[in-house]
Amino acid sequence: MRPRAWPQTLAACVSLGVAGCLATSPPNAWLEVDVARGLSPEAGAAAPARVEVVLDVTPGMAVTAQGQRSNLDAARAGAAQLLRRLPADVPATLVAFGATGPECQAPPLVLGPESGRPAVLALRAEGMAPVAEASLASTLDHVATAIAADGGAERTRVVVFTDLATQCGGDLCAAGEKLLATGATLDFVLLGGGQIPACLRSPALPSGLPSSVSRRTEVDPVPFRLLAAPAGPAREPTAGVAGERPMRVDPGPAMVELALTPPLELPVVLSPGALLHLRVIDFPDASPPVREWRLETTAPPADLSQAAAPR
Amino acid sequence: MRPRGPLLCIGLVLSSPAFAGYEASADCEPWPGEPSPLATTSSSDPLAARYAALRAEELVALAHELEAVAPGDAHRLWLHVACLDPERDDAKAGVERTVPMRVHAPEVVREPAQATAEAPDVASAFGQLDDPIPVVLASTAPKTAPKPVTTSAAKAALAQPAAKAPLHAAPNALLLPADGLLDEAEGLVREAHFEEALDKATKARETLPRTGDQAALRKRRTRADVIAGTAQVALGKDADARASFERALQTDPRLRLDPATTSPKVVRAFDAARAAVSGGTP
Repeated sequence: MRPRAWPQTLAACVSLGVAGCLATSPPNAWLEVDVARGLSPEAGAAAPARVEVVLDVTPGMAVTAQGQRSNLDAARAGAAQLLRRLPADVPATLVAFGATGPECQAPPLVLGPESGRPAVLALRAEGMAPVAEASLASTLDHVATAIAADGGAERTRVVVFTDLATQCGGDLCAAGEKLLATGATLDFVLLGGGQIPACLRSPALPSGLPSSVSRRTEVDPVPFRLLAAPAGPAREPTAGVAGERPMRVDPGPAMVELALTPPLELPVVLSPGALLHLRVIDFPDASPPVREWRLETTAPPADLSQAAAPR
Repeated sequence: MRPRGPLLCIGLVLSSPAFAGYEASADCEPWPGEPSPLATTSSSDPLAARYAALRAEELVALAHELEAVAPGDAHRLWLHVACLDPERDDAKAGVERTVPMRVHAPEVVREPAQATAEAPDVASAFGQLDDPIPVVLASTAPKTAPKPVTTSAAKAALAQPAAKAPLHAAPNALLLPADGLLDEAEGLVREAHFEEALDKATKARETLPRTGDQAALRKRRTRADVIAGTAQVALGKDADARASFERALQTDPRLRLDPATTSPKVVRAFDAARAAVSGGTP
């Protein structure tokens, strides 16, 4: 270690001369640490799934030939059938559009969420009557906004019972993509031979880190310390952070201590003029937990300005 | 409506392009906390390959867990697993199983509705969206908008707000408290608060005086009993519901419910009560 080595170094310099001393100074070693972690354990119980049943009860749905079933009959029965099948503890919401006026302007009628009794909404679905034309696109937009505001969208399933023949316009594709962007899923139950618009056949889907993983991902870098090896020469503790640039350190035996849970302590030997790269993978939630590492000695960084300063 | 033939789930058709599109875009970027570039199981670096295998394994476990409650998240997990371990067959199946948007076109059948069994979870319930939808056709089913109900009491109890008929043709100060309670009870039925609706309807009936305009009193008793019966059907109190409907029919034997604005389950309970009151078989 440098401060304590000074007396010996000074004596050597006196005996060899300053030039000789500079010529024999040992080169630095380099240390780089990388840690890749798996999911951390889930904290707390997972929230339950939620269901939003969107029911088209616009007057157009009720049109039928004599003696035949209308799309409204099928939509009401299908929605009620789904609601009765839901487990009793699932919060369910019934969103009916076309059940209130004025034409093309009324917001959807929202019943619920009913926690613990989704089947009661089944009766309401069966009793829905058409009042005025309304927009499916506006309704989906309304639902998407509400889901995003409530949070937990990734656990929300939206199902729409419709013939897709609503007459009040709106951008159905934009509304559908807005809803999907929240992380919720969307099921269309098409009645009467309705066709899904081409733009919704391959909608833009959200990508990237899902919130269920984000909650269990440690993004803070792992700090580490370079300590003297138990049987090695003295060494001033040096701190660093995994994932940063290689750090210049004194060569010789040492101990790397990573602040994982539990901490990881590894004996290492730092060679003069070489880079020691420690890579660790840590999966604390695996069964059994897995922690493995690899030590590799390579050439030091070509550009010394890339080195991280010891702490 | 035009009945459909065999069950058809366009979602399965849609899911394949979604997966293919994903592969084409090669969106295998590492997520926060993952090594960059993203490791794969085929990496020549043993530790990177080991990381990819372990990471894929834990994401697969989480995806299975999430499929029932958060299929959108599960979908993204399966896509990422396919990046980490392209050889996994279950990743592609998982992606297809959890595609966030599906289209169903179930057959509509003319059958009496069977008692619907509760599914063990939401995913199972949604897995039955392609099941045939049984629709019971009432002989008086409306062609377009709801038709007027046979009696104003039934209409007031069960119709939508816009179609609600006033019941206050003969104002009477003694009837006002009951009318207020009945209005509240109707609102509660519309909002699916059936316990509270039943409570209000019962109180309304108790509030009605015994003397006064008998025609007006009969209307309100009928209205209260229809609301109570509707709430009781919703709450699964079938015997109580039948008793309420029988009381309503004893007060007004001409009472009918409009199938266009009334739940088929309520109509069936009401018809059973009517058959019992008239001496027929329920």
